Amino acid sequence: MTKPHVLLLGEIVHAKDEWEALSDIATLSVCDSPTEEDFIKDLAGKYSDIAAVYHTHYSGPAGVIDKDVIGALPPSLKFICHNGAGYDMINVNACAEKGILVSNTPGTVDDATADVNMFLILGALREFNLSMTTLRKGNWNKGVPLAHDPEGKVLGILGMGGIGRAVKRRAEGFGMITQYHNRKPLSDEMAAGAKYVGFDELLATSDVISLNLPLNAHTRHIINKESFAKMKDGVIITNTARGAVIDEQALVDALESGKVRCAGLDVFEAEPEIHPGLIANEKVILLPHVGTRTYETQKKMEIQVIENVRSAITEAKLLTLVPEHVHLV
Amino acid sequence: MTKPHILLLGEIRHAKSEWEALSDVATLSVCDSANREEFIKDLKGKYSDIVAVYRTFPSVAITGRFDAELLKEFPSTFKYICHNGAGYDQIDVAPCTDRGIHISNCPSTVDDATADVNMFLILGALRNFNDAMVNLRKGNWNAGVPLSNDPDGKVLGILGMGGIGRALKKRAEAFGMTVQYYNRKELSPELAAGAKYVSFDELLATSDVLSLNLPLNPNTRHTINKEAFEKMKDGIIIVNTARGAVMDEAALVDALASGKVKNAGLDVFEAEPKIHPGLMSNEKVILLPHMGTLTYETQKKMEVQVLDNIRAALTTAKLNTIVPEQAGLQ
Repeated sequence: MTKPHVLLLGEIVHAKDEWEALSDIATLSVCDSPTEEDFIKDLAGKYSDIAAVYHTHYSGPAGVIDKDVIGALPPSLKFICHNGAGYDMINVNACAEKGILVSNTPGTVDDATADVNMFLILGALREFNLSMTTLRKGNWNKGVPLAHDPEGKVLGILGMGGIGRAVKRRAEGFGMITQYHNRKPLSDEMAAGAKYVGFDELLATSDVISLNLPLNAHTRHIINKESFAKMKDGVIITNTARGAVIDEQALVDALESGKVRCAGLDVFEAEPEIHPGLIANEKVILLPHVGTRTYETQKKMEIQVIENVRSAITEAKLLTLVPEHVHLV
Repeated sequence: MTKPHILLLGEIRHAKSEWEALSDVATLSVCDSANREEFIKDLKGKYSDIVAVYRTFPSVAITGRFDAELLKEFPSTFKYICHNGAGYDQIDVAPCTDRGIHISNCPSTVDDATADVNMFLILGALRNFNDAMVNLRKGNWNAGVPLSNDPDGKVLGILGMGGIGRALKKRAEAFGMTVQYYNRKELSPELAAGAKYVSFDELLATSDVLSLNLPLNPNTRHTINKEAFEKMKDGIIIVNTARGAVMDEAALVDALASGKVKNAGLDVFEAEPKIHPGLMSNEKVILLPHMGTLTYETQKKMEVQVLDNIRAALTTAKLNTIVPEQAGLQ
């Protein structure tokens, strides 16, 4: 009996051995279609029997899995195993309609992303970008105003998944008090002392608001002009989720008015493009989507995807199904 | 009976009403001497009966260091230097002790804010964030920015396990780091809270990240030097929020160039505000201009701590937070 065919869309950098080891249960191909158009053709040709895909958000064909790509996928394809916690570039509803299940990489991303988030919280509260920039210009700390301590401040976490809970653990080491809003309140054990509040209460009573929710049709621009109007004066905003959960123009306006004292961002609505109002602001602390970009975490994520592929092939089930597909199995 | 005369050297920004409130137990003057020479004259004139001084870190620009040469000009009435800052290396302790002058500093009020800076620098150096931030600001997004490393599971070596070192441990553990330390003396198990006590050489040889949290004094100057770097792991991360001069800055630059030190995070520099050009030209290192305690909340707490020391000195003849070198004197 021929082994099932598994296709790699993108690159595996760290877990090459683990990928090659899949050849005990599968035939492995690496997508070499030069363009999206060629790929669609190949899906009817050399990839017409693929059973599972290892997917990365790369710049090659099907980096974005939209309705057109999904329409062209062969009937043998049942599993898309995505490398990344965020999977907004995959149309999961259209996948479900075609009987294709999708996995992502929760858990493995938590620590590295929370580390970035906490760095941004500190950087924004303490306004470190301004002092670092002043130093690098040769002006030491001239003109740099006093800033604020995290201790005793209320951190409002929007989206209390694995990353949000990892941010809470770090923030408590700095003396912050955590409250959160989530689709559903967590068990006492998982909340570990964080107070569940309504969305409006989170906005109105947090000194720092950290965004840790997935991007989907419901959450796009969840932080917008109306949200900012409900926040405390001088609030700090940090975002390591997806840029589009914030209306970036509204954020720039809120920074300008002083409603938002400072912000720390690892993601942007139209990245790699960044609103010029943010670039022109020397206080905000900006990182270029480095959330999980460490050797250790990248390897863990690659292995998690490979394990999902192995489970898909050997047991016809995924280990870390995306939440939208959980009810399908 | 006249109230004791106390002198403010520098500025009080946040605890002005607490300063004014001292007038129930003291006569308050604000030093207006333009420079060290004038200050010395004034110590023989209008300040010739002062009992205590509230001095700030920046006031050294007027008076110069509190060395033997300056201290001998102080009147015989003078008993207390209440210093605003944790580090008091601007004051030579031995000549003070010789003259019966007691010094207080600001331990504990500085711990959280300084440890916050320290943890920010550890993350920034491990994760190569300066490189990434600079790249973004140049318009290059993350092109060419290499992968970095997680703090999770790494060994943090703390050199100097005082209040700041212990506050740092608490933060580092939230990021999954394992903490070991070297200190003049081993801490009680309660204070060490699980951190492993090791020798100085073992700290150097086995730490993935080395954080400097020790005071600057004649014994600790250039503790981290060329020989020390040679004992360290290849690719070590160095972080300093203590005093620049506990590290030989030129040796650090060499160690960065050779790759012995993979990255560094610094809030203090040997000759600040001057910074070694080898650091300024390095886009990986993450550098702050001595921001350690520069927040509204912490600055106020420190000012109040100094004022409380003055009040205690005047009303009980004992300082609240006398410096460690003089602990046996009261």
